[in-house]
Amino acid sequence: MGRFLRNIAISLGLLLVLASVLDAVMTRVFRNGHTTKAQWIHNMHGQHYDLAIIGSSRAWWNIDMSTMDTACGLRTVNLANNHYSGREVYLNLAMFLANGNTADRILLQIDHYILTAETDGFTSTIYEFLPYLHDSVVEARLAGRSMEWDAMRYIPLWRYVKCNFMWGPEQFITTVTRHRPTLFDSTGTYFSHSNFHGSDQLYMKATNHRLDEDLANVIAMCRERGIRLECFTTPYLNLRGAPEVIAAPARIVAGTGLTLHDFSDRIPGKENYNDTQHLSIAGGKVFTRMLIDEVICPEQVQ
Amino acid sequence: MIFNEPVFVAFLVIVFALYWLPFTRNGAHKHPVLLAASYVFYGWWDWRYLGLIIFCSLVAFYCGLAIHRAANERQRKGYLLFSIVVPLAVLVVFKYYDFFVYSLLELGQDLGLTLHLHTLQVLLPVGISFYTFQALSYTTDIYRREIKPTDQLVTFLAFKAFFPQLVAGPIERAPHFLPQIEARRPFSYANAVHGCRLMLTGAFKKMVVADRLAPLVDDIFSQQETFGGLFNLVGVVFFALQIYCDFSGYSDIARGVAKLFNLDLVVNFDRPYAARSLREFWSRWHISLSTWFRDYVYIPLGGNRNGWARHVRNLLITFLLSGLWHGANWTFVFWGALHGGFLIVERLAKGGLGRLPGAMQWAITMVVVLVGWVFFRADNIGHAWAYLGRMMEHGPDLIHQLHRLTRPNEISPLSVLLSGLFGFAVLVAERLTARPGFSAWFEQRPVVRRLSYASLVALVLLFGVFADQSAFIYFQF
Repeated sequence: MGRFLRNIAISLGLLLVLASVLDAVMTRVFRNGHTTKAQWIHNMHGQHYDLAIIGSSRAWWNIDMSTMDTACGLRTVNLANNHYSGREVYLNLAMFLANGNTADRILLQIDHYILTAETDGFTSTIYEFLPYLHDSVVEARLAGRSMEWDAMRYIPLWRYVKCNFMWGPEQFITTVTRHRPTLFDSTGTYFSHSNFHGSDQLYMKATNHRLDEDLANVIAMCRERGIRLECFTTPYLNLRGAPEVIAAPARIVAGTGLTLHDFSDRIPGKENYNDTQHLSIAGGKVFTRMLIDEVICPEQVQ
Repeated sequence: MIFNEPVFVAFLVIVFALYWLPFTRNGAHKHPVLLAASYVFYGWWDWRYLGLIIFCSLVAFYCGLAIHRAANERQRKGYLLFSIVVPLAVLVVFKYYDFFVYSLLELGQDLGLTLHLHTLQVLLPVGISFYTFQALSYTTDIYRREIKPTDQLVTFLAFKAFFPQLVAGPIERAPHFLPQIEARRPFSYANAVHGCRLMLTGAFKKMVVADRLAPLVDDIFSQQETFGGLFNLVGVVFFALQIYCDFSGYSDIARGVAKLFNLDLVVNFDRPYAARSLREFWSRWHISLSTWFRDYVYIPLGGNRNGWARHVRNLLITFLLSGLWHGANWTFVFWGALHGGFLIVERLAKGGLGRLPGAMQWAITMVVVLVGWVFFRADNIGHAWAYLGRMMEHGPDLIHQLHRLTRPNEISPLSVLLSGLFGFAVLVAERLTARPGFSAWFEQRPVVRRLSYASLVALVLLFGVFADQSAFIYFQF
């Protein structure tokens, strides 16, 4: 038994040493990458933007920031990303501001999904922030939230092992060799060229909507820094659901005193969508025009 | 609690320590420790169903004693019947009742009849098919006078509920496993090391191969119409790798954990995809189940005695039941019928098939196995036929299909390729290690051995799926 336990202890010791070395090396490489949204923002310093869009995939896909720049004579950036809930929206904005970047105006995407997102489970794309777990902004938000986060912070390599689908060996090699694909352009926009797929009917199931701690912090952070914050809802195809579910975003935003630009039923036609929630290239063009005309620089258009 | 969860590692360390610490001089604490650990393991999933397993165990224990002590043959038969009917009734109620009701309702609808039947809508207890079959074999073996019953209740309950094999087998039988539990064997360094190696290879199969392939297989099977024939073929080949690595990975981990307690579970898989006939396949796949059906269904029905017609009937009954054992769905029944039917064809064409080149025999067997897996994996019979039909059609270009496959899962084409390669690497490695003399060669080269296991650890850590601990496929059976 003694021999067995000794060999197990030696194996675990060696594993710990190897994990510590790998953790340090991988963290160094991943922190300096530029291909995920969090990496991009982490490496952005001292930039000033007239307008920034924050939110999830619906605020990210096919909204053409360059067209906005040209039409309104502004410098804009899109900080939104796939699967983001309030927590990731908050972290992205907090990292952006902590790096000395500024924005005069921010458009926050608010809708049914973002108002019902879970906050502390290991869901969504919070794993994007794993290389930055020991940075003050990320640590302050995630430390002590659950044993899972503590395990990721204190057990060497565990964060990259658990999330090796995003921070694994393949991504390590492609980051080192600068071959890891970037999904977005220099303004942070993602252009999806997919055709429409999936069901034609968007159904919003009834849940309790709430402005969670993170979205409340986003509002507070903007107020504190004098950033003009407004909310918007992106278009949907064939919006269905209980009236109170559809009305919930407007009701909740009204409680914060912010303005909501509601585009949820403004763009019909399957040709304008990749699926019921995400605009296609064609729909993105229409929506970008709507944003320019009605929200971003209506005075210039008139 | 499942084997690839961190909580299981903590659980195993605690149970290992409690089992081997010398609390009692004669090791009397070992059986209560194993029993408590097994019930905690099972109760972790849903403690309310612990009552079921305790009930089935008590029925088997007391019926076993009653059969042994019965004064005459009639009493023996009565107790045997009771010990068979009760666990089977539990199995039928929890696993098959709703299936039969839904099937009757559908039939009634087709015939224009309105039937008023109610479903139970109960959650299927994990591993129910495994522990009920274990209970059935125990009392049957006593009835056949192949074993004597134990009168030690805690020992028996620990045997019945032994946690590594409780929810997905192997189906341990009393003649093989009960004496090991009773013997309270001392610690064995060699067995413990072997156990660790088995757990490592099991983790590789489950986490690096099966769990990486799972989202791809799910995507292809759920949207087969959007993929072409080639990708549908890839989907079923991936499923063949997934289910093998999932289930044999579980069995490896189960055997490995048991060896930490110096207990040996039966070998459940022996390179099934190397089989050159379906008969050989079933002597290599889920061996504890196929031998169970052979010994408790096929042979008692008469086996291959009493003429050709009886032989065919017995094969079909055995495989239909085997299919139904896997799940309450007509897809499993059809899968069983397909295997049973082809076994009959094999026996009819014994001379013909046997004269074909080995590679041809293997290819024919694999075609049948793969077609069978389509039914096994499909949601219903119609889905399976549609899938098979789509396999024959030309689809969109390969790049488009690869894009369709990888994009929703947010994985790269390289990752898909690696997952498939890892799966085939398992098959190749198993073929190599099965060669005569390999074990001795491997044991005599400590550097090669240590490097191999270190590489496996690295592969599990770097390529294994940890983010969402998916349950093992065979838990549902």
